[in-house]
Amino acid sequence: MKKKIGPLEIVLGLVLLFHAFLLIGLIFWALFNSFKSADAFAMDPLFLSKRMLDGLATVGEPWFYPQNYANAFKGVIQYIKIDGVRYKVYLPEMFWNSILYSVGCAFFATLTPCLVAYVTSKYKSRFNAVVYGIVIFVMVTPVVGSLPSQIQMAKRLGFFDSQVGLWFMSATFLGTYYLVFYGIFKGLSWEYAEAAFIDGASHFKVLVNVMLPLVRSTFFVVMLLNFIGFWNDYQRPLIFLPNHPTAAIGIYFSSRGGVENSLFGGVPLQLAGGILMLTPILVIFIVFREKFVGNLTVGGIKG
Amino acid sequence: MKHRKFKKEETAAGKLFSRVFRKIGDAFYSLSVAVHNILPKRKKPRNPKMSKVGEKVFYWAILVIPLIQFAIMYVAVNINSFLFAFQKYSYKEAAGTITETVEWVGFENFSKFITEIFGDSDMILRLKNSFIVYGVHLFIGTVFAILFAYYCYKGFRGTGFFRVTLMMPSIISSVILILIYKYVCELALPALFGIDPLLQGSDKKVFAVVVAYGVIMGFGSSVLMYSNAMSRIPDSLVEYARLEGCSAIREFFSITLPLSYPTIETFLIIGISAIFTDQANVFTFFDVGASTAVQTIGYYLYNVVYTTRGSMDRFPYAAAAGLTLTAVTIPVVMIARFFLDKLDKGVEF
Repeated sequence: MKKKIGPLEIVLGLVLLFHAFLLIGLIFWALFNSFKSADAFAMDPLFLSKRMLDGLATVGEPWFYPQNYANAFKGVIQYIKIDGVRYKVYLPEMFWNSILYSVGCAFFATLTPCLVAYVTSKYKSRFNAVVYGIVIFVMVTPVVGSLPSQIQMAKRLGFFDSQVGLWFMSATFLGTYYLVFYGIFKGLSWEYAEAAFIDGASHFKVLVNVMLPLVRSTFFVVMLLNFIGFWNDYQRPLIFLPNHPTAAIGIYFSSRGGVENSLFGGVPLQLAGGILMLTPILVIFIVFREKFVGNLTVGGIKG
Repeated sequence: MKHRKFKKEETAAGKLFSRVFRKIGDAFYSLSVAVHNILPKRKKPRNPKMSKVGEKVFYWAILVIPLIQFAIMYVAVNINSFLFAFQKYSYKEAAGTITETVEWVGFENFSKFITEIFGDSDMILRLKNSFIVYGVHLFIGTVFAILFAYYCYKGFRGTGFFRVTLMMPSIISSVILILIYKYVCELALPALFGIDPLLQGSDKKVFAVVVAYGVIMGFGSSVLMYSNAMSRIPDSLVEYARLEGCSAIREFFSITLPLSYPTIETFLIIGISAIFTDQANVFTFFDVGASTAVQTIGYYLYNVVYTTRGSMDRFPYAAAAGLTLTAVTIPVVMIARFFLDKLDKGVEF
């Protein structure tokens, strides 16, 4: 029997279709125009018009310019100053900085709430309520404007302009992911651990060999989400990593238009740089999309 | 079918090797037996109830580093921020060296910010913009996010595809999305429809374009969390309602919404607490040079810190502004939470 389509499904389906059309349209526009020459883009910023093709034919220039991608590696540049000496940082180095920053921060930002949620949900202690209370308190207590203090603290403790320093700063158990892991560990039977204890396993072995494998799917998803967040983040590295610019910072400043950009192809070059930065994330998302969309739940915050 | 038997002929050297290896193996085994006999006998398998000390050591070993991190990056940072708000940094240059002086100025930074909030038209505009951004996200963003989540939860047509498209803006960097969105608004749409560039002209229009971006791109994780919360509703309950003749709309208001309410409440409270920190992507759109008419308080405070990050002279003002806004937001969040808790039916399932 065919399922009946109700009015709610029709209306929401149309709105969702429009939303999807907007998003895919934007990405497709960027991808297409990233392959255009600067002149072709200047003549037609949409797609391919006859006027543009005729105009380019008269000067003997092709519209298709895939070199934008190679040029993005040379044209997206950041300047850093170490001991008063100015250095150029190119996109490949920025990608390396992005990898160090995002993988390190994502790992510690996932491991910390996971471990804290594990002990506070599975081990009896009066302190558990304190930890849970802290998480809820911080979630519902907005702190505005602590950035200056964070910068000063990072400078004093040597975390400023240090990848390892930012990993430590990211290793917090505060936030939604603590609640996600807490809920999952609460729901897991302690019998697995008891069986392991009877066989002589230590608490650490039970954690590593029994409990963490049981939550590996959620751990993986949270780590991926964190990785994407850190990979895309440019405001924190902009302030805390002045001499280790990430790819997001490079693309951000290239979109403001630097001398190098005008030399290497203007808007299409910026779009090519953006597509390069987008590609690894899109590949991860396509490969793991099933994991992304079905593994996380957050309940209420009654503490 | 017959299996062919294959016997490898062993050479004299091979025989010698295997004999030597066997001897070595036997020697190691004898050694291990001897060591085993010398060492004290292994304790009985551990009983979790008996190893209370080990349990406590493990518990605190896991917690110690996260608690130190919390003590430094939350407690100390906020105490430092509090102290900052009562200080003033000044710099004097003499003989090529810059000397930093810190002095206590009482409530000077607070009074400056409060005077601005009530008297400075730019600051009032920023405040107004912050509330507009929150209102739009609440009444358009949240409402549509819940409806979209319901669509995905019910598995209506194209759910798999829409889940991906809704999630896409959350995984793509706002730097890239805004880069594309800006050029589409500035170049592509004017070329297509023969209109003026959307990010130029009246401030109201520019602000609307910026806020629209936030709505279009802001569904991702909230839709995911809402639909995952909805999927925990027992199927038997929904089936029963259907047998009783409940329509999809009635099901949405009478079952789905009340049972996924705790998750919705969580996001509503997080939303309120972010009113004064939300930059509404203004920094990514316009960098440090955004027109005041499109600025939010979140953008303004970030900009103050970012533009003066080389020195500390504006940090105390930003810290005082932050503390004042925190003092305003905390009671608002508490009151909102009190009323939102009242709406919770407290159904266990």
